[in-house]
Amino acid sequence: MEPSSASLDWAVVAQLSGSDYPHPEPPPCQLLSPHLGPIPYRPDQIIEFPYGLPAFEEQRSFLLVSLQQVPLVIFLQSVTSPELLFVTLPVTVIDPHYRLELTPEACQLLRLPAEEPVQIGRHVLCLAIVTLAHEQPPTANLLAPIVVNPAARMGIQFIQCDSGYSHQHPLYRGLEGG
Amino acid sequence: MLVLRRRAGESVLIGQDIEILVLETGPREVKLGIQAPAHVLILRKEIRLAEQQNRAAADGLRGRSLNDVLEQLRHAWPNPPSQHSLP
Repeated sequence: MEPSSASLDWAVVAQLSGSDYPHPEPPPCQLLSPHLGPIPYRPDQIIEFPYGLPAFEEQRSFLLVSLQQVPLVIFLQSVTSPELLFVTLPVTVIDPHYRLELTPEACQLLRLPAEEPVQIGRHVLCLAIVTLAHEQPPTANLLAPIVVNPAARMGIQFIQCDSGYSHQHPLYRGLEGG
Repeated sequence: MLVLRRRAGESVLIGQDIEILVLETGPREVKLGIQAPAHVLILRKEIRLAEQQNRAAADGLRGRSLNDVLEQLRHAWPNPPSQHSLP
């Protein structure tokens, strides 16, 4: 495996509207991702996951990285373990009518104001982790999306119990069928 | 799989020291009470599914080049809907 960083036009996703890179000041930190190559970043671009992710509870710091070649994909890159990477897609790309119903506890963790209903794309990024196992059709985890409040730089993986969404939603069917 | 019918207020016993009590039943859900020793882990199954799926997603990328991974994604998804953009 060789990082082909020279050809990668990456950006650390910082705002809901896209990326704030390039920034007037050069990023002071860099991590070397086996998949994405060297990623310069600023500490204020790190998304903090106070409980990590299920099965990766010790992983608390991630960067959201996008590549120009695959504009819809957002990579969830661990800062503390560069070899840990997740491929994600915004849930609304997979299902335009996706419903996110955060609990008050989840809103508090994400430091979202309690008075307004949370809207995907307005208050939070909502991303489905894509499983790309070797020689198996890709699936997306709609049961437990990654929910990020970019304003507070806080994230959680929120398990939508009772939602009826699948943890193995077939990607092709969802994308073709809408 | 053993299938049992129980009403609210009734319970089932598993082994010597686990009791599962049906507290309430409704059209969409049931409320359960579980009595078990402290060393017995009790989880909503969705949490275990999320753990397994996260491991599968992380393992699926390990040792593969980015191009290989993106090629698999493109193959499943040759024409991404153009009206969508980030986020």
